[in-house]
Amino acid sequence: MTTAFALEYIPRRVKELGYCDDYSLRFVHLVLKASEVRKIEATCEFFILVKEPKNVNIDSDMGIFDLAYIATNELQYEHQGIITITNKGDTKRDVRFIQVIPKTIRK
Amino acid sequence: MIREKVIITKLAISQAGQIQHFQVKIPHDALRIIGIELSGCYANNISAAQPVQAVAAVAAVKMQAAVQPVQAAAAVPAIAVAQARQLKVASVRVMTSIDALFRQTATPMSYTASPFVGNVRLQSCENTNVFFSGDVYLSDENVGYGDYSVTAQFPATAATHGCKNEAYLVNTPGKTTILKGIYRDRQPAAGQVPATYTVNVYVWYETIITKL
Repeated sequence: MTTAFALEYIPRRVKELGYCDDYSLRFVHLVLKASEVRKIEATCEFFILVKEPKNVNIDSDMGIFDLAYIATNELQYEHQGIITITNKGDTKRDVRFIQVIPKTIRK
Repeated sequence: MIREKVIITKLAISQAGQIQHFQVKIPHDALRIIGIELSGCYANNISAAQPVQAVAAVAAVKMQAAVQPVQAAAAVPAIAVAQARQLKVASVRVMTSIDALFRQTATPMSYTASPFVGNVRLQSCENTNVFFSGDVYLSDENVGYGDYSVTAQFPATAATHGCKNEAYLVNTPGKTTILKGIYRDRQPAAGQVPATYTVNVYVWYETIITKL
């Protein structure tokens, strides 16, 4: 997913979920060391993956993103809940997300 | 007049660790989604899925159990499991049938874990978001637990001793166009042959019928 498409997609998605236009965006650029496993708790927000990382496994309650994982029929770009990011390679990897944090009560 | 309808989605699972995404199309006339039901079953029956020798071994043990239930209760695991392993066809289906046979001849107070294979999550497009998460078991292994009327000739099965299936109650607006679902297989990746099975997801919803 490109950053431009993500920025087009996010307002519609936030509206679908019943939140107002009052939300925050953060661009998150994670740097993972070789074989590093990182957990992010995103129960009240969601993360949109931009720029598909290679040799990285992103697993959450919503699905999985791993270009090398063959036992799935779909890859997920929108992640919520406990997100586990694993660098499967032996060099550092960059993973970029747009973090969407709704601030208001649902209508 | 409000009427309940159901949409059935079948998922074919053939790999350990398989992650299957699916969508359930909700009709425009759906008022709200009221229940979710899950079930799982093996993809093929036992005789179609395994070699003739394994079927013969299981059949021989069944015959022994019918004639001499007490001795067979002790003999079943040793004979059948050893034969199945020697034949190198110890698939999940063979083991399940042998286990089921053993349970028929064992005491009613023996407790066995049901085969848990994975879980289903459902997400609405609307504000309820992720509204359901449920586990899938391929069978209820303890359907005759504590029932002393069970004999080798009249074993406890889901058809005779099972309870009525009940849906998990949910309350999600029907205006969501689709439900997005994800199924994760939780079988161990190594150690045994993974089962090939089908998961059924039943989505119950309410609709208004104006004309009969």
